[in-house]
Amino acid sequence: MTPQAPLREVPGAGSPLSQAVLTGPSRQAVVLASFPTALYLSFGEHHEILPVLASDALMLPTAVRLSAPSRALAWGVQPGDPVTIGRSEIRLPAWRVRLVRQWRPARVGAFHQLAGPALLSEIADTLSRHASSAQLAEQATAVCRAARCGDHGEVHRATRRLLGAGIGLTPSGDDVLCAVLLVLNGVGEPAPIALLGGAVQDRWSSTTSLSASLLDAARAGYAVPEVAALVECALHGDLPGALRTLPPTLDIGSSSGADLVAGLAGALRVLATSNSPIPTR
Amino acid sequence: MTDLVEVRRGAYYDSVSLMQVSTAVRGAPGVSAALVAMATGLNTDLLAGMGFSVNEAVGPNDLLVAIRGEDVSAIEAGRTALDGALAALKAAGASAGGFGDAPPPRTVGTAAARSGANLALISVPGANAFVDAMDAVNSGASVMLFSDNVSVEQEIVLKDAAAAADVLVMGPDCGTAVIAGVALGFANLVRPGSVGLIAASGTGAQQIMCLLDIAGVGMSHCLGVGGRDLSSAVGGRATRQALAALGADPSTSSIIVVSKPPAADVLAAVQEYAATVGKPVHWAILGQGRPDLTAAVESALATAVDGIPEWPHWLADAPAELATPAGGFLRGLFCGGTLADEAMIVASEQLGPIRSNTPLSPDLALGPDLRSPSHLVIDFGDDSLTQGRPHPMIDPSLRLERIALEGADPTCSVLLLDLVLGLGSHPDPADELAAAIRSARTAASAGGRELPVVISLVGVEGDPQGLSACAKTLNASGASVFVSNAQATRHALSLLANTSAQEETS
Repeated sequence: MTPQAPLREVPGAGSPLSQAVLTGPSRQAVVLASFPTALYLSFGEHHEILPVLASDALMLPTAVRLSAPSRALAWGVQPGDPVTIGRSEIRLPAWRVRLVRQWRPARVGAFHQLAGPALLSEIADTLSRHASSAQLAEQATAVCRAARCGDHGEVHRATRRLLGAGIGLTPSGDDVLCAVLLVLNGVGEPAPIALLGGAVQDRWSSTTSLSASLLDAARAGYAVPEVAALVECALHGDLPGALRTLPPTLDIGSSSGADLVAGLAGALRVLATSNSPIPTR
Repeated sequence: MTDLVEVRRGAYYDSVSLMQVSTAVRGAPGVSAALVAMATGLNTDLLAGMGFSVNEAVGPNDLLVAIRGEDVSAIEAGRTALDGALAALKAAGASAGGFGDAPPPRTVGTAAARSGANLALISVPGANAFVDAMDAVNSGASVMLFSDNVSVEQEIVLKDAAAAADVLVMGPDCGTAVIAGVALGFANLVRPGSVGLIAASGTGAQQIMCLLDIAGVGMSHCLGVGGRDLSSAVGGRATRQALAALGADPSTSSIIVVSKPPAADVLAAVQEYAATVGKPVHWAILGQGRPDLTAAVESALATAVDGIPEWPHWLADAPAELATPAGGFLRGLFCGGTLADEAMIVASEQLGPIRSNTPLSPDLALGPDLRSPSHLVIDFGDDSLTQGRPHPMIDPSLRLERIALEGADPTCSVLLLDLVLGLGSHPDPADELAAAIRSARTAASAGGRELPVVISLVGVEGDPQGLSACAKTLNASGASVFVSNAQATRHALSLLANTSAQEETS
C-alpha cells in the first residue's frame, strides 16, 4: 500500500470575528468564489462568509489571512466545492490552513468628541467630489437622518431601495449602507445602529453573501483598514488625514471605494447639520 | 422579439467587469436590450421591469444574464458575445481584479514585499528620502539612494540598518550603478565581465568603467556607495558591505574601489578589511600625490591579457597664428564632480592653487559669481548649481553660457571641458557643445586671440550617443578630445605651457 502524502499545511491568522466558526467543531462549508487573492467560503446562513486571503488581498475584517502572496498560492478549488472549517483549521482537498494566531481587524470606535459642524461640512464637501454619485450620497443622508430620528418606516424603505442596488458582488447601495453604519458606530449612538442594522439584517437575502457579511461586520464598526481610517479621520475633522486615506479607499474594488465615499459624505452631512448630543469641537 | 434569461451559478464578478460584459452583449447584432448582473432582489426586480421573466429560483450569489433580440440569431449573437467577454475577462484575470484585490502599494516597503523586489531606487526630495530608504531596508531590499541633501547622521543610521539586514545602501547622492548588467541612473553601456567596481564617486566610476571597456575588460557590477562613504563620519560602512558582496559574488574576479579624496584612517581601515575578501582589490583613490584614475586603471590592467591600450584621442588641428593672452589662465568647466577634482589635482601640480566652487582647500573657494582672474575649475554639477534645475549632464545651458563668457574673456588661455555620455545623460550633447565651442573660438578670434579647447569625453561606443561620433563632432569644432580625463588635463596644461613659452619668446 502506498502511504498517503501528508497534506501541505499553511499557517494562517484568524479574525476574532470568525473565532466561533474557526475554533468550533468541524463543519462543512462550500466554496462560493475563488479569486487569486481570496477564497470565499459559505458556512451557514446567507451572510456567513469566511474569506481566506492571500497576503496581498484587501484585509476584510472577518478573514483568515495567510502569509503567502497570491502568486505563491493555488487554491485548487472551484465554486461549489466542499471544504471543512473548524478545530482551528480549514481543510481544502489538497492542503489545509492551520490557524496559528489572531489578527486584529480595524474598527471604527465611538468618539467622545466629534469635529464641529463647519469642519464636518468641509470634509463632506471634499469627499463629495470623489463620490461615485451625488444621488447615492443623498440617499445616505436620508437613511442616516432617518436612523438617527428613529424613523422606522423610512429606514426600512431606504434600506429596501439600497440593499442589492448595483450589478456587482458588492452592490453600490450596500457600500453606502456600510459607510452609514460605520459613521453611526463613530457617533456611538446604539439606537440608530440597532435600527439600521436590523433593517439590513431583515433583508440579508436581497444581496450577495459577501456583501451581507461585510454589512454584518460594519454593524459592529468593523471595516477594511483603509475605510476605517478614512471614517475616523473624517469624524475627527482631520482633513489632511482624510485626504491621505482617501486614495487607498477609492482604490477598493472597481466602484466600491467611491460608493463608500458617497455614503460617508452623505452621512457626514447629517452630523454637520443636526443638533447632536455628542459634544463637538 | 425573442428573450433569453439564463442563470449562471458560482460566477462572482465585480461591477466594472459586468458592465463591460453587458456592453459587449448589447453591441451584438440584433440585440436590443441586455442585463448581466448578480441576481440580487433589486436586479431581479429590474429585470422584471424590463419585461423579462425569470422562470427558476435564483439567489443573489448567482449571475443573471438577460438578452433581448430581434430573433433567434440575434440571441445567439448575444450569447456568443457574452461567452467571448467572460472568456476575455478570465484570460485577462479581470475576474480576479475585483473585491479580492488590495489597493496598489503606497509605500516602498509594501511594493517590495508584494513584488519580491530586492532593490529599490529612491529619488525623492532629500527631506523625505530617509523614511523611504529605511522602509526599503526594513523590507529586505537594497537601496540606490539617488537623492541628495540627506544628512550624514541619517546616512549612518541607514547604513547600519542595512548592515544588520545584510543589504546595501548605495548613496545618498548615488547617481551611478550597474547591477548585473542593468544600468541605474547615469551609467554607460559597458560590456559584461568580471571586474566589480565600488564607487564613492559617480563620474569617477563612469571614467573607470569606460576606460576598462575601451581596454576590452568588462564589468560584473558597479556598486555606488555615496560620495561621503569614506569620510571620517561615515567610516566606509557601505564600502565594507560592497566589498563583502563582491567578495562573495561568483561573477566577480577582481575589484576596483574608486573614491574622491577619503579620510586617511578610514581608507587604511577599509584597505585592511579588503585584504580579507579573498580577491584582488585595486584602488583608484583621488588625492594629491596619488595616481590619477587613468593610472589606477592601467595598474589594474597590468595583468590583463590584452595589456594597456593607447587611450583614444582626437587632436585638434594646429592652432592658427594668432596672439595668445598674456598671463592667461586655465578655465575648467565640468559637469562631473570627480572629473573636476581630478583635473584640479593634476593641474595644481603644475599651476599651483586653482580656484573652484568645489576647491581642494577652503581658501580657494570661488565667490557666488564664480568669477576670478586666475586658474579656475567650476563643477556645474555641484549641489549649489543644481538647485531648481536639472543636472548639467541633462541640461547643459548654464555651462554653455559660461563657455560663451570664457570665449569673450581675454584672460582665458585654455578651455578644459568634460562631456559624459551614457544612459541618463543628454541624448545628443555633442552638437550643442560643438556649437558653443565654435562660437567661443570665433569670439576669441574676433578679439585677436586663439582659444584652444580640450575635452575629456567619458563614454563607450555602446552608449546611445556613440563615443566616436561625439568625438568627431567635437573635434570638428576645433577641440582636442581625450577619453582619459587625466590625459585631457595634461594636454590642456601643455597648451598653456606653449602659450607661456610663446609669451616668453615674443
